[in-house]
Amino acid sequence: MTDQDLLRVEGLHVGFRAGDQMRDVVRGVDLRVKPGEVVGLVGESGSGKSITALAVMRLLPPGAAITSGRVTFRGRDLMEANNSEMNRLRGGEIGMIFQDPLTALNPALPIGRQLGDAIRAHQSVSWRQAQTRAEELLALVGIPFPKERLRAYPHELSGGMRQRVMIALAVSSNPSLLIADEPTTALDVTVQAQVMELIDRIRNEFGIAVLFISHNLELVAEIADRVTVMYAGRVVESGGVETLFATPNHPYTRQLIRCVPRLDGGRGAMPTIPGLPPRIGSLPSGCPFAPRCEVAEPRCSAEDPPMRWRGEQMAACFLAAS
Amino acid sequence: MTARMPTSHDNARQSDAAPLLLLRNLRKTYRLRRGILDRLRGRSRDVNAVDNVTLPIPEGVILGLVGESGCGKSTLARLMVGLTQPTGGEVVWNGTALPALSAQERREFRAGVQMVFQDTHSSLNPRKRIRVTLTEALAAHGVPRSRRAARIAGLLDQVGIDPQFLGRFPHELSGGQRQRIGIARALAMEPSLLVADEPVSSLDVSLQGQIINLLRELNASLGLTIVLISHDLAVVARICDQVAVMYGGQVVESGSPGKVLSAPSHPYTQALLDAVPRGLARRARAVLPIESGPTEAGCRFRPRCIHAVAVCADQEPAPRAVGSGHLAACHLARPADIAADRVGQLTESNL
Repeated sequence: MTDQDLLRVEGLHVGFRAGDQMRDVVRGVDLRVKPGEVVGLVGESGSGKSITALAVMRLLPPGAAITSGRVTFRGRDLMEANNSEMNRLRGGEIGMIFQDPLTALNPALPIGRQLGDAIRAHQSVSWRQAQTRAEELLALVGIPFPKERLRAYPHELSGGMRQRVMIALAVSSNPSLLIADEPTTALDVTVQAQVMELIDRIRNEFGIAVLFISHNLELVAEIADRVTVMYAGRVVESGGVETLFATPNHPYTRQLIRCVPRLDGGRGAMPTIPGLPPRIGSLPSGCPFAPRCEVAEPRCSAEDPPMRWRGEQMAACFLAAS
Repeated sequence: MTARMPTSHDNARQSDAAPLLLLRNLRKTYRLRRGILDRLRGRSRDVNAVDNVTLPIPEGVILGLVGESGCGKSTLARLMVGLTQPTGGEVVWNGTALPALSAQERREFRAGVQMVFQDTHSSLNPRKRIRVTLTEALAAHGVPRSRRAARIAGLLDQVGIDPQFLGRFPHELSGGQRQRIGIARALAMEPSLLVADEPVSSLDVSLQGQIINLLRELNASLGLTIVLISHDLAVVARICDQVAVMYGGQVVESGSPGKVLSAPSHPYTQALLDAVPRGLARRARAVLPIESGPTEAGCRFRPRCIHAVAVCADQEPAPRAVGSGHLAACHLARPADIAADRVGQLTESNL
């Protein structure tokens, strides 16, 4: 089973320097992505989901570092890979798309030039061949008049079109894994629906695995095969999308699902989770969710909760059914 | 061509009196700056950010304003609070058009209409402690020095913030707490209308409900009229008394959420509802045709509309009544027909 994994993250800890000590923001994350599958990584801001993805790519911001754990891609330990090997992987075997395509694209270069550069960075083709390929890619991601659009600058495109260009860039080198960090958060629902459809189509047509990071449970439920839920730097629950959302086994997942506003949800006060997520540096002992949990017991604040398995579904909770 | 909407809505709380705020044939045009060659050739293009909007805001309601980015909802909000001057039409406050307000009435309008913004980072002064921010608002409202401390305590209690936060700076607060302070600052002016522009869209799901519930409570306890601008149709359906759907600078459909969001008459409202992600309910969503800018002639939504017919390209549809207090600006909108169909679907999904 383990050799089937495309990406494996085991016991990942990521710390930020605070004074002369390291404060862990990611605290023992396990994550697996098999070839061709979509894994949703869910969590609220500060849960460590984006930092986990950046750690996988070894793109952590200054002051942050992996303090322990292992990341393997196709069995290769990425912690041991040198910079040139990582450069070949990033934008090569592993494509990336981010929330804000305007900052991820170079505002001063036409998109054809940027696509061409990306293609030639990973494949030895002529400039002309790269432009032909760029045009094909723009057509693939559903951009009308692709040949004309090669000369367009990012600001001349709408948000949805820019995100399509980002996806074209990300798939330009035939990656086997696409890391998508909140790819539709800045978009209107109608445009969001189109981009989600595109990601799903690309995954089906090319068998690309996707690590889909989002705070939006509805989107993750729509696209993912498996889901990992993070809270305060830890994985609190993981499992298949159907079972996890239908029968959540961790109180946080359960309470979070209840908070999602639904059109057929009736009228009146909205369900909420009382309190606030813990701040880094003032983490409670035991289960980090215990102070906001509706079913917490005294032991939840005293000891770290065990990982309870129910088939493929894991919940880190004393009270989880197994 | 002026399309006038009837001002009667079927809200229980609405009296026959003039609405608190009335937007009448409101228009805001921005001139696009183009290159020097275009200017020499006399070419210029105007963009109608808000195009002939008539919308009454009755006292005591929560009105939801929905639509995609660029539909003009934020410009409309700025017109409501007087931050932007209209190109045409008028904003009527308690029966008097804004330009005709006396100096005293103008002061009352300035205090009486307050705004809460999406980005709590940029709407609170980062270098001022919370106490200073609130004190300044009270001073601006003419609250005597001796009464300010008590008033601040009352405001914090209203928005659910512990007084220990008074000595802190905005960055020391969470996003939800900052939004509560933004609301407290607005309440310091004792407003009768609060315009909240996407107040929860930068907050986490588990915290959004807390702020939305706070707005509901303020509406119930103070009778505060609220305009909630939101892209989240589910939130609007849940707490708003009335909904206005905007497209291309116009209000294309309005009425109670029970009608507009459960039995929409305008194809755009239907398309917006169909695009809402519903993965948790294991339901696929329908995708609108590729985006294209609104057109200038005929119906703005025509290029994306699957029901469009010839008349849609020639004539701009005027809002028409399709039910009690339910208006839709669509040539094809008929009372009840689309509606009945939609009600059937919703009943199914509720089972």
